[in-house]
Amino acid sequence: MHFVNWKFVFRVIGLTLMLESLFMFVTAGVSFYMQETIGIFTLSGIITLSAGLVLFFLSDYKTKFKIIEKKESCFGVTFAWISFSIFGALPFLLSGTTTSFTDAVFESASGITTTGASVLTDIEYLPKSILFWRSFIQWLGGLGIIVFSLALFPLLGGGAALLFDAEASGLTHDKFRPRVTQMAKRLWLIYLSFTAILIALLIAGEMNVFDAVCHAFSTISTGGFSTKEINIIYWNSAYIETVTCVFMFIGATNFALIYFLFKGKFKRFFKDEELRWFVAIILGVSLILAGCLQLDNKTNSLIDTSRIAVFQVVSIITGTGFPANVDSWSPVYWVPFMFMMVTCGCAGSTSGGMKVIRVVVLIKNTLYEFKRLIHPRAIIPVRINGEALSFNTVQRLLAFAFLYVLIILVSWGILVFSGMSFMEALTAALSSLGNTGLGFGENGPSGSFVTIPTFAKWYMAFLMIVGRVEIFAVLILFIPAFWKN
Amino acid sequence: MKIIIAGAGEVGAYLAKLLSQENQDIVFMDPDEEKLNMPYGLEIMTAVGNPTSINDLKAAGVKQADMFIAVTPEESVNMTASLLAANLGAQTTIARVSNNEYLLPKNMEFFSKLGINSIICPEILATGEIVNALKTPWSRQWSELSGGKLILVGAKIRDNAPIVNKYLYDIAQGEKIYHIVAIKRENDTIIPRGSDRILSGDILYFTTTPKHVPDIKILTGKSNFNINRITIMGGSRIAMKVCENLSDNIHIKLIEKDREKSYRLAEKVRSNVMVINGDGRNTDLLIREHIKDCDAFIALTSNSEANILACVTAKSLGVPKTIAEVENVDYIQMAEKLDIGTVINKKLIAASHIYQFLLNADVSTVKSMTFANAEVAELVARPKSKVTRKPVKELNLPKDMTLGGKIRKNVVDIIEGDTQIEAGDHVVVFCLDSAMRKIEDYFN
Repeated sequence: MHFVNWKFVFRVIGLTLMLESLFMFVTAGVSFYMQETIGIFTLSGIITLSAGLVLFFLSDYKTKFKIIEKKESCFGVTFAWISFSIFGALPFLLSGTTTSFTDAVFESASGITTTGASVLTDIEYLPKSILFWRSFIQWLGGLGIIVFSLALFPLLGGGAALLFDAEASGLTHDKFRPRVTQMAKRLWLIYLSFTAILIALLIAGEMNVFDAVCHAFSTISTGGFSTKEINIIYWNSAYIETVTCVFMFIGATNFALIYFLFKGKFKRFFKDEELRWFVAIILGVSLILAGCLQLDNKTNSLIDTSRIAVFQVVSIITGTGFPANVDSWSPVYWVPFMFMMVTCGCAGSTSGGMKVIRVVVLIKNTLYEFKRLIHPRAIIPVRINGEALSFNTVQRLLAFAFLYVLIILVSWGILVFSGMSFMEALTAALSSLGNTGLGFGENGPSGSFVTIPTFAKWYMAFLMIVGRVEIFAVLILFIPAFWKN
Repeated sequence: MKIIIAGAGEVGAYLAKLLSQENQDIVFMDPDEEKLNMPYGLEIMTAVGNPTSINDLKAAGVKQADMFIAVTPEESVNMTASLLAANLGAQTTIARVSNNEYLLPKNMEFFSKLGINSIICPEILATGEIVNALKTPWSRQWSELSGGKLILVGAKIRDNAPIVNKYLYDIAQGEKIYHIVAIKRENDTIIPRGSDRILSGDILYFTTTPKHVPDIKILTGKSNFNINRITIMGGSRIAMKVCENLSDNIHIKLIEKDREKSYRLAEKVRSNVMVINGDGRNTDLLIREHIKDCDAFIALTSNSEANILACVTAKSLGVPKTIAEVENVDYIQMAEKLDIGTVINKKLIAASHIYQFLLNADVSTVKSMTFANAEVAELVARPKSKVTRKPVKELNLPKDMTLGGKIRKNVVDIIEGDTQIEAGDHVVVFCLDSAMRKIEDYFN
């Protein structure tokens, strides 16, 4: 395997781990402030930092990488996410939150990929620093750890563009700045300012500062970890739900588009086809949901029903997974939920799933196929924003969609074999691959995945990372051609 | 006049031929010696050299040149060459481009500051002609003169026309709302007199005001129909520009033979255009793509013969309006005989444009009639010029020239025998190619 430039891979992983240790030290600061033992996070930080430094020095820290190929970038990104998940599990283990290594890694992977599925119970009794850590890694994972590393460390040289490409989501990765590091900085600036605004708004809604910060982190990143057992329902405040709803939506829109909005290119923002579809889907499904809910329970006021419907729809489609104030959703509602868990938010956002743009292109392409049958010699491209997509793009997308569905089906089978029930296995597969984190049935909306078999936990953690980097970057490592010279 | 033509392509060669027949001193310039030999036996001087090289330009005598025309296929070469020529001493420079943006008035100002006096884009001019032809599908020729105040319209007369077999003095009764400026009969173009008779098969050219266009339509026995569905054969640059310039509610089918190219086209066009990969001459394909429902068929491949044949096929399948790009000038007469509605020729279009600069008068537009060997020019009568001295009927205008209409202070009039031209009037002159140079005598 000498043909892979391992030094570059080490450099990437080393840098991500150093970044992670930085976050651990910050959390240690939080635990000091909360008057909890700071040892856990300091120790985790030191371990992670040393691992990071070792890898960093192994990579000949003085060399500048010139030629970096797809192989290294896929390796780098995949293993960055995996090692981040593993080291992120340290605090859970050291603090004794859980004794099982599996659970700790599951929780950490679920956090970093912004899935938000949890194996922890009695959340309110956990140390505050652990709660903070859960939300913090979601926030970090929201825009992507590679993007963050690129924004902070200019040490990756020529590999930056390819790494960014391997991590970014969407059909095509349009650059809005010539250098990836410049782009990463701007993206994080936008992300940071939204987070700050959200914290302020939540504090204004009578949340205490700690809860506000944690919730802001898991809302803007569309993660879904909460500091309360019953999640956001705890506050039962229309204001908090509305604010959360708006910021989940922002988190699931394309950040490059938001950048254009800041740049004064309003037309480009409001005319964006993906965004329009996204809004249309949310409104449409909310309307249906509200109608059904109202028919189910006529005693509720219309306003309450719509509040629940809109919140739940936004929460699921953005991949956040905050539950709405409903005792339990009857299986009728699972169907639209499942569709939304596959679709999820816009490309270039913090949300997971297939992305709205891909679903739109798939639908259009399918409709055009009928037209192509009528006009066999006609060449009919799919248009987004009035511009035709290249046929290669559509072809790649078809492969992606097939792979996505295939992975869900195969994972469903694997999870059923591992001992999960039929229905839960399906939702678990959807939830992990789409980074939604919502479960149904026994793993119910505010429930946890603690009861599922050990193998299923590992498998789900793997699926989360696969889903987060949009399949190809991870799965390419399993393709024999990749390993041939 | 010393004229340097850079670029021995189709347009360049045609211009060289045309201008040398006009007794201009032509220097024909191209890096490729082979190409320069193409217009065989002409009285021109050839210069092998690169139009963007300062030395080569100097060697071609750019310092004394009255006009420099850059018509190489490359837009950027033309721009650079014109810039250099202008700064090396050429009086006027003309560059051929393919980019729409360059033609915008605000950008033209910028270019004239740099020394490029005129920018022409044959493709865009051709597109304009096609779009105009589609607006009035019953006409053979449709030109808007003086910014649309005066219309030149050509129509073929059939047996059903009310004016067929009549003498001109018979139909010229009452208020004069139009003027028949030319009759194209067989291969000849006639500037008609009162004693001429209109025959079936003639193409009549009228000048009229926009509000009387419907009268012309009735007079020539035509009925109007709207163009909603168009089939275009050949994905050339003109085809793409036509697609861009037609409104969204017109459905266009663009047939392109080359598979790779049709994919590229499909990614470029708007959603009202459907790109079809196939040969436009294939009748089966045309029938399967419902050519019968089409209102117009436009053939724009680089092959003139193919264009003519495809149009004939489309006509026989029931398409009412056909337009063909015919680059081979000799075929134009034939295309007309085969009843192809409108013929587009980039070279003629480019040449008309360049004529403007040759005429030493204030000319705002020159249009060449593709079917007739004639030009329409719009001129301003200068003070004390010949044309302003007497009423029109006493001017003794040459037989190959007629005045179509005048615009005085924004009022448009059709010219009659008694009309007196005044200084400052915009006059539309219709003349055969042979009379082009005589115009100057009357207007300067």
